Amino acid sequence: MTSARVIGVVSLVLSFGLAVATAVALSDLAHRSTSTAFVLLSTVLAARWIVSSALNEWNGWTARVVRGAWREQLVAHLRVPRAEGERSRGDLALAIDQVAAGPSLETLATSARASVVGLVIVFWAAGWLSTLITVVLMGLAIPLYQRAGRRSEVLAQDYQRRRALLTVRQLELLNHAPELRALGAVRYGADEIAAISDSEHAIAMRALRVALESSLVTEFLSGVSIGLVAMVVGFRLLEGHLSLEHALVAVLVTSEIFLSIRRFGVEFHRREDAQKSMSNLAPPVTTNRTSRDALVVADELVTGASATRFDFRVHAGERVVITGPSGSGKTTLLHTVLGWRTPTSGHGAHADVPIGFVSVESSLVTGTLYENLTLGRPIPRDRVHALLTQLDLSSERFTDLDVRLLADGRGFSTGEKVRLALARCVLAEPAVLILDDIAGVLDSRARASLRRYLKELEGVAILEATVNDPLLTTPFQLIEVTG
Amino acid sequence: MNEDLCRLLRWLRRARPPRGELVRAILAGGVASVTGVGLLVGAVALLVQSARRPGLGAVAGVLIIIEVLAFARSPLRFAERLSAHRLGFASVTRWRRWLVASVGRWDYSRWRLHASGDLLDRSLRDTDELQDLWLRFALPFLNTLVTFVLGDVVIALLPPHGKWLAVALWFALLQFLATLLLVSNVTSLVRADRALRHARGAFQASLVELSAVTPELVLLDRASFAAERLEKRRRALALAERLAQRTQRRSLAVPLVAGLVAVQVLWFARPHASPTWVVVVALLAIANADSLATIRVALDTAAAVSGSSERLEALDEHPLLGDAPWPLDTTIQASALRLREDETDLVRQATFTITPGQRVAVVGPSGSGKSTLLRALCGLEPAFAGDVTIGGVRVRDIDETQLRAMVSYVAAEPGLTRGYVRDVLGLGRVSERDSNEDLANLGIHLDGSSRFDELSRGERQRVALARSLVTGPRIIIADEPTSGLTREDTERVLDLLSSTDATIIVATHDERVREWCDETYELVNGELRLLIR
Repeated sequence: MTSARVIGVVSLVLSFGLAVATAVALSDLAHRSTSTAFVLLSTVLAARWIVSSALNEWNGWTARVVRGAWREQLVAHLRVPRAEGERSRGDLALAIDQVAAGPSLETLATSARASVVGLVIVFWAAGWLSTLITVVLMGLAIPLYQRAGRRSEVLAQDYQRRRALLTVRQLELLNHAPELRALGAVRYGADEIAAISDSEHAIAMRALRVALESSLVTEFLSGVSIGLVAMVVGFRLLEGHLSLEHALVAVLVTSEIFLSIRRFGVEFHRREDAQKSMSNLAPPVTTNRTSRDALVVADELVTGASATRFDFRVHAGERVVITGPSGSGKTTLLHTVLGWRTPTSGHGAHADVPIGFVSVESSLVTGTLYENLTLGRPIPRDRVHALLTQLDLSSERFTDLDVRLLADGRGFSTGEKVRLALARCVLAEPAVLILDDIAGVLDSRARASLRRYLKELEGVAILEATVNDPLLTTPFQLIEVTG
Repeated sequence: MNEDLCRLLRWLRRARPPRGELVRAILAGGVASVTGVGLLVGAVALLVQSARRPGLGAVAGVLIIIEVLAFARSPLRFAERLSAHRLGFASVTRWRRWLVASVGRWDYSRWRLHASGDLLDRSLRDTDELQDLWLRFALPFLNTLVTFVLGDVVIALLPPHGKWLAVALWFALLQFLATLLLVSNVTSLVRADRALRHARGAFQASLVELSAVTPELVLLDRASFAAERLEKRRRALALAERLAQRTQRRSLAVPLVAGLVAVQVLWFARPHASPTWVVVVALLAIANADSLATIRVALDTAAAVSGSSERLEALDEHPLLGDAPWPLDTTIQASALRLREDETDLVRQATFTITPGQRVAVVGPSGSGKSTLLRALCGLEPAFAGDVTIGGVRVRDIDETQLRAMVSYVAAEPGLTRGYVRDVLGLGRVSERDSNEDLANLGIHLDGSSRFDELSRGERQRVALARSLVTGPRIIIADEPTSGLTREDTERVLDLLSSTDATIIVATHDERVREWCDETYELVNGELRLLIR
């Protein structure tokens, strides 16, 4: 940030210097129209180009550095599953892009603040009256600007809310498009989106109007300022108190002062976006404590999804079944003891050992079956094959471990995906296995082989949540969730 | 003209705003830019004039012009920005509606390809970006051209009359050549942008994919697996970003060269005229360089948007929908039906008849293709070979609106269940049933004005079932409607289904549902056969 400020000041000083040089060249041109004047003019043109290109390069470079630094630590953001209604994690990439614009916006802000220095040049070139005009108009511009800024902030929040609503709804419709079609409601969906979009735009236009009013003010005042300075300087020129060169410097520098304020004004909202994105990039907090005496612990735990108070411990090798009707909060309970959700009261904890978690939502990644199952460690293929057979995954699709899977594990049914996720866990040799309501998506044959397999799985504690049909036949503990 | 430019023009045309508004926006923009330049030029001219020919009369004239410009400039800019945004917004609403309507007409298999990863998420952002096509490309580009023309006309009219014509023509030629040069870089910009977007998309898709799996990997102590995968994508993205920047840099010198040449032209071709006008034209030459920089930025935007339009264009075409009326006879017949997915046969040579009012269960191991079969029966999925007919009419030939009202389909993992109960159930359709009563019969007691927020899976299933009955369908097709429900809720679902006299086809693992049905088909390894009880 310091370097951004330094660059901001340097670029401003250079632009003032170039304004002065332009003034000298133009006055030269007016007096003699010599070749030196043209050479000077060409030089000014080239110098301006070099300054702006250099600034551009610098912006590109810092953005690259910032992006790189953030992207490297992104995995920390993925430790906790996405909450319902939270936007896709792909948006983190966008947030990073916005944050990366931070330094360049900081240079603009610094330039705008430092442009006050220009007043000294105006004073030197054209005396107190021109300076006074510029100061008064700048003084008028700033409070008006701030007032508009506050108003537009309120509107912008309103707008962001609408917009988030629109995006969530539209994504929901797209993600369930076949259902929308099956229900004969495509046109309804499209109309709904158009209606939300229009109302979003109505608010956006209001916010824009306010934002543009503020830039209207600066534009207006800068225009008036240039005009008045030119007039004052013009009269002093007529009276012979001032040289043309000084007069031109005064006018061009005044224009430059307002230009840098205006540039910042245009990008003002982007700076706020960048700051907001920065706060979105704070990694999620996991509230869980580490337990030492048992593998999984719930101490007087109450979750957000049910009123039941849970108090249980799971020790090595134990079998525990959690039952309750759908919607009673079984999944929330599991997520809470894993530290993915904050409890309402009490606390959940788990030991610092590998834990396998399998649910209907467990997903595969692009790559081969072998990669998916071994997660990058060398595991003999025989062992993988043997495990798949035990889980009743022995059709031809599972014989070649090196075939690349289609994205999202397409081509596998939910029942197969769940068993692959289970195999992935088992191969990582966990101390605890948590099964979140997976029996429902299995056919009777798969269910039978899973029952057999889990019964024989030794040394692993298993915690299963289910509505009424557990895979664990002889549970050590039964926990009921009543809702 | 090359393909990328053609596509840009095509998309500009597709979202073209009303002509009146467009003309207003261009004029406001052009005039605003001219006043901006004019103000500075006028101020300088005033000073030069005062210095060279002291006399109040001459100065006063210029002074009036300057003040008029100073006052008029900002409202003009204001009007220009507002109308430009209005144009952008109007086009984006159009695209959003279009997106839902086109994706909503796709067959399931096509939708499935897009729904994995975050392709749909991205298409959303793409439609949003399309507003930049007008807002940040077309309008600034056209405005700058207007500014060029107006500036050149002013130069041509400077005194002494006719003497400045040569300079004005030279300037026009320069502007034309420089613009052409900038436009010619668009193709490589688009190419670099395509690579960049590809890398960015892969990075984001990988982020989305890993966000689903990383929590489980962290628990398993295998977070490094996720980190390595992301790192690979990150490197590719950084590389593409560099390439894109390099391509943008290629046209960086064009405004500079054009500005320098303009100054040289002025030096050689300037007529014998008042130095005031020489200074004015010199300032305009410098302003030309700035305008060309604006065009450059606009073209960068165009390249960025062209990626969006390219991807959206791929979503565009959709199958023709049928127009045959709903048949009176609702016998469902499949003849030699063959269904394929991901290069595997899920159903081979299936032939069967389901008479009106019959209840049919489809069973089979998971992954055998029951869901695909159900979707083919209600025309959401095309058959690879063979036919599905209702009352002798091919399902895919029946008028879509009537078909959807008469054949309902409940997905295995239903969605669209957030919002006011009335909206969730109604979805703008004509209601034939009392859905509140249906909901109550399913054990969900709510009235139309309450809201569904976070529903559990079992609740979602029941809500979806009640919703599918709203139009009074003659055929109800449901995919695992009772999986994960308690015994009590399963009874409720079956009771509600019994209360209609519609044909019912369910895919199920549930023994109770099977017993409730009249017939059971089993689908194993692509063979569909009727089980004898």
